[in-house]
Amino acid sequence: MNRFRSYEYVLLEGIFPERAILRLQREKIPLYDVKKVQKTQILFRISKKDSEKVFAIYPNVCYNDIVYSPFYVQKIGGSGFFRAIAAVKRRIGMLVGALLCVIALFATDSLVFGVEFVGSSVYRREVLSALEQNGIFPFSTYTCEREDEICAQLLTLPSVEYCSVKKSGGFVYVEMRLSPFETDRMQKESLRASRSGEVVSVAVLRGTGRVNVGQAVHSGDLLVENVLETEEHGQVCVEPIAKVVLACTYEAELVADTEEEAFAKAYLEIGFFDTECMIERSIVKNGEGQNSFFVKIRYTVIERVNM
Amino acid sequence: MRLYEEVFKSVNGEAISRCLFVPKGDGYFEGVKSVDDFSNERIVIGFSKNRVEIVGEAFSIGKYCDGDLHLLGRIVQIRVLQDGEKA
Repeated sequence: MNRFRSYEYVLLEGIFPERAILRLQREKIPLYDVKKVQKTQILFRISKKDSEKVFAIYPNVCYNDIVYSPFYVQKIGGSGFFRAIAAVKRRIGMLVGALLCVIALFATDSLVFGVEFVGSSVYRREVLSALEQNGIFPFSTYTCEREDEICAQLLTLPSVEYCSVKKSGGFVYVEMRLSPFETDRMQKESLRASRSGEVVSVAVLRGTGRVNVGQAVHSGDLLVENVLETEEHGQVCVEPIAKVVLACTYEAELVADTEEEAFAKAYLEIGFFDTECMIERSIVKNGEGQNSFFVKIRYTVIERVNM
Repeated sequence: MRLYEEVFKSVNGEAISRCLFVPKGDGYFEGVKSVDDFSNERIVIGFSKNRVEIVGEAFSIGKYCDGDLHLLGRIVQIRVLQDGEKA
């Protein structure tokens, strides 16, 4: 059978349908796949171009009751390449829908719908932040290229021993395992002020803050206490995670030959660390001929615990 | 084919029908003038001078055009009908 030729299945019904076959043969109409369905019915396939001839020989009495025909002929369907085309035309809506569905599936396959944590999720906020920095957030497209970078970033977090980031379905799975010994390294003591000054900011992730912004504190004062108030168990001792920024002022009269020497001595006395940041500084010489300066330095100190 | 040539030479050039069939298989018939009876188990084919009854199973006509008939199914028996014998 030629797949690219259009055929039609025809059901011929009437008494002694073999006569109809003979008549069609006389008209030189090739018949294919002739089958006797019932005693009075024959099913066969004809070329589409011969279809008109068949209906001319045996007019369909259903549509034209003026003309008499001993046989009732009706089209059952097509076959071959054109049948496929006709089927496609009939189901164009369904095919377009299916095509769109496939496209949507491929398009959404790379999308991220959420983040799931496997193992520890204590660094949930840090993980989400790291993912967002690398362009992974809900309804964004996922790329595997940044996985190593994200893992490297997360492995810098304290006590993180193992980390993996991978996508499965619409979710990004972040597996994180913490070292069992690392929790012992966290400080359990409350956070106290190492210098006198004024509280600029307070950030407490765990524990209870005992100072407010703008409050003056002295060295050794309690900033963040290692307790939590709970309704069920009252006060519970916890490992505090907090950061308090203090604005401190250093004023002193120092003996020095030059201003630079006076500042150097002041810095040594203050004991500048990396975390400390100078806000302003001023120096005044105490009279002519004297080797002393009045030095004033304003700086910030970051007091932190487990953070 | 040589055998066919020898067979048809003996007919003195007279146009005769050719039948080719495989027992328990398909059949191919040339010079078919009519299909007098047709069902899944039996078909009677009319040639110019005689009629042939073919009995078998699951018969269907693969192609019927210009006196050529390709019969599909399982041919079990072929018999030439006598004159006047009912199809």
